[in-house]
Amino acid sequence: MPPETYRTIVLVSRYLFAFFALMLLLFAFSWVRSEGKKRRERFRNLPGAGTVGELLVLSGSEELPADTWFPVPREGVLGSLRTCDLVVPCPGVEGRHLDFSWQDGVGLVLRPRGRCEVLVDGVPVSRRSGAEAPPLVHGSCLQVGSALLRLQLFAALNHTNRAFAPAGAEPVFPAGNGQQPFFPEAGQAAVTGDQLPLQMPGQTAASIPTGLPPCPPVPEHAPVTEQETFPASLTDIPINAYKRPPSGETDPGLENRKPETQPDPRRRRRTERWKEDFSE
Amino acid sequence: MSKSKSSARFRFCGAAVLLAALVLIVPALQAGDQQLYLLAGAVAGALALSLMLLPRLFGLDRLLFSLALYLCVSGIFALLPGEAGTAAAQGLRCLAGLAALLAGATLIRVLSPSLITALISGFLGLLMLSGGLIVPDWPPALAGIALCLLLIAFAVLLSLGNTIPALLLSLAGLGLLLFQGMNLEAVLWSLTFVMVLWACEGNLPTVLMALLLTGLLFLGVSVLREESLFSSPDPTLLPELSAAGLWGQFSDSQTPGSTGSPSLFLALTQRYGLIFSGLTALLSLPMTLRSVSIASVARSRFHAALAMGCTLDFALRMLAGLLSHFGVLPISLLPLPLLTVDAMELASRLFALGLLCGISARNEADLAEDAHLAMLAT
Repeated sequence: MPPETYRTIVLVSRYLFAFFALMLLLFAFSWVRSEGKKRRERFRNLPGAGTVGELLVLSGSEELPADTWFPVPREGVLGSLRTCDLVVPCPGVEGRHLDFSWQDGVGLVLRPRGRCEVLVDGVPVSRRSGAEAPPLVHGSCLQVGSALLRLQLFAALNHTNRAFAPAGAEPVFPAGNGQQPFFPEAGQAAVTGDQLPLQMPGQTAASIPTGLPPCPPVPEHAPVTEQETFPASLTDIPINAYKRPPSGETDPGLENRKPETQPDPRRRRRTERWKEDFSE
Repeated sequence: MSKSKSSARFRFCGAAVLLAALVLIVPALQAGDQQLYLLAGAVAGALALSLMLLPRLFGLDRLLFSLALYLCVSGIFALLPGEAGTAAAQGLRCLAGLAALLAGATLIRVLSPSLITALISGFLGLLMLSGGLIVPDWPPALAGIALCLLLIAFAVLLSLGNTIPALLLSLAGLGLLLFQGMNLEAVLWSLTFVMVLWACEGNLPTVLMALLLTGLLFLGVSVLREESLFSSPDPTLLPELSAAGLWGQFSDSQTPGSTGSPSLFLALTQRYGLIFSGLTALLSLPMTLRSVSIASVARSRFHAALAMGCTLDFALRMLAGLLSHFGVLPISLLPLPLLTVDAMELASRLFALGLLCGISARNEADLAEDAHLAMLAT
C-alpha cells in the first residue's frame, strides 16, 4: 500500500477508533439501563419474588401496629434494627434477634441468636436450651418480644402439617409426642391426640382450602404497649391463649370478615407497607 | 425478548466486532502480512461467535461476558503492529482466560454454602498462598486464584454466621500475602474482606475489630521486614502517557517490550491515544454496575457476599491500576485487571468474573422459579 494512502487511513482511523470506543461505552451504559428496566419490570410483575410468604402482625407496638404485614424473604435476620431483613421494632426484640431460612420440605427454620428467646406455637425456643426450634409453617404463630406474628405462606408452597379447620373447630393438642396442634377437617369426627397431623401430599393449588384457621383472638389486654410490662419470661404466656372459642360460637373475627372482593379495611395496603419507615 | 433489549445487546456486540475487525485490519494493510490478515479474521470471528453462542450455551450473564471479552480482546489491539506471534499469543491467553471464566461459572452452580466447601476452598487458598514461602519458584500470579478460593470460603463462613472464623481466615491470607511482599495484593484483599464483612454483618464492633487487626498486621509485618510497604511511583509513567497524546502515535515499533513494562494499558495509550484507552478502561464502569446489580438481587447470603467480594476486587483493582499509571498512588505499576500479558493473572480475573456470571444465572433461575410458583398459585 502506498505510504500516502496508509497515512490517510491512519489519520482517519485514529478518530474513527475513538468514535467507536465512545459509541461502545454509550451502548454499554444503554444496555445496563435496559437490563435494569427489564429487571424492575419483572419484579413489578412478581411482587412476591424472593419471598415465601408474609408475616401478619397480630399484636405489636406503636411502631408496629396490628394488621401490619410484611413479606418474608427466603433467608435473613429478624430484629429491631433497620438493617435487618424483617424489622420488628417492639419491646423485647433484640437488634438481631434470630436468623431464619427457608428449607424446602421443612418450612421456615429459625435460629435464635445468643440469649434471645422466641415462642413458636407456644413452644419456647432459645439457643441456650439446646432444643431445635420447630420450623414455622403456614399458620404458625411466632412470639418475639411483645410482638405476635403469624406466618402465611404462599399457596403454591404446600409445606403445612395442618388441616384447615371449619368454623367452630377446636385445635387438638397431641399429648406428649411434641407434635403441633392441628384442626380436624370438616365433617371429620373428633380425633384423638394419637393421630398424626393430616398431610396433603400431591395437593394441587386448587384443592388447597382457601380459608385459614383464624388465629385465636388476642386476649383483651393485648396489644402490649410500651407502658405495660410484658411477661418476664415468654413461658408465662399460657398456651391456651391460642385456643379458639368453643363450637357453636362463631368467631367475631369471621363475622367481621368482609367478602374477598372488598379489601379488609383493618389491613394495610401493600403500597402503604412499602412506605413504612421505622426510623428512630 | 423485548425489542429494546435485543437492540441494545446487538448494538454493543456489533460495534465491538466491527471495531475489533477495523483495528486489526489497519496494521495488516500497512504491513501486508498474511498472518495479520488471518489474525484479524480469527479474532473478529471468534469474538462474534463467543458473544453469540457462549452465553446461551453456558447460561452466562450476557452483559458481563460481552464487556469482559471485549476488554480482553483490546489487549490484542495493544500488541499490534508488532509481531503477529505476540498478538496471537495474547489471543491464546484470552482463550485460556475464557476457559477459566467458564470454569468459574460452572463451579458456582455446584457449590453449596456448607462447612465442607469452606474447609476445602479455604485450605486450598491458604496452601496456594503459602507456596511462595515454601517453593522458591512459585508463580506469584497464583495468588489471584488463591484469593478467589479464600473469598469463596469467606463468603460461606459469613453466610453460616461464623464471623470470627471468617475473619481469622482472611487475616491468615492477609498475613501470607504480606510475608511474601505482595503488599498491593494485601491492601486490595484487606479492603475487600473488610467491606464485605461490613455489608454482611453490619456490626460496628466486629468491623472495627477487623480494621484494628488488619492495621496491626500491616504494622507488624512492616516492622519485621524492616521495610516500607509502599514504593515510590515510577516517574517516567506520566511523561510517557503525556507523550502519547490524545490520539496516539501510530508508530510502527510500539510493543510492550519497547516500553519496558508489562502494561497493556500503556501500550494501548501510546498506540491509540488517551481518549481510546481511557474510554476502553471506562468500560469497567458498566461492568461494576452490572456486578453490583447481580449482588443486590442474589437470594442467598452466600451468593450475595461472594458477588459483592468479586465486584469490589475488580473495581478496586481497576481503580488502583488506573491511578498507578498516572503516578497518583505510592505503588509500583499495577496492570489493569483484564489488560495484562500475564496468563495466570488474566485467568484469575476471568475466573472471578465467571463466578459472577454463574451467580447471575442462578438469580435468573430463582426468578423463573418464582414466576412458576406465582402461576401455580393463581
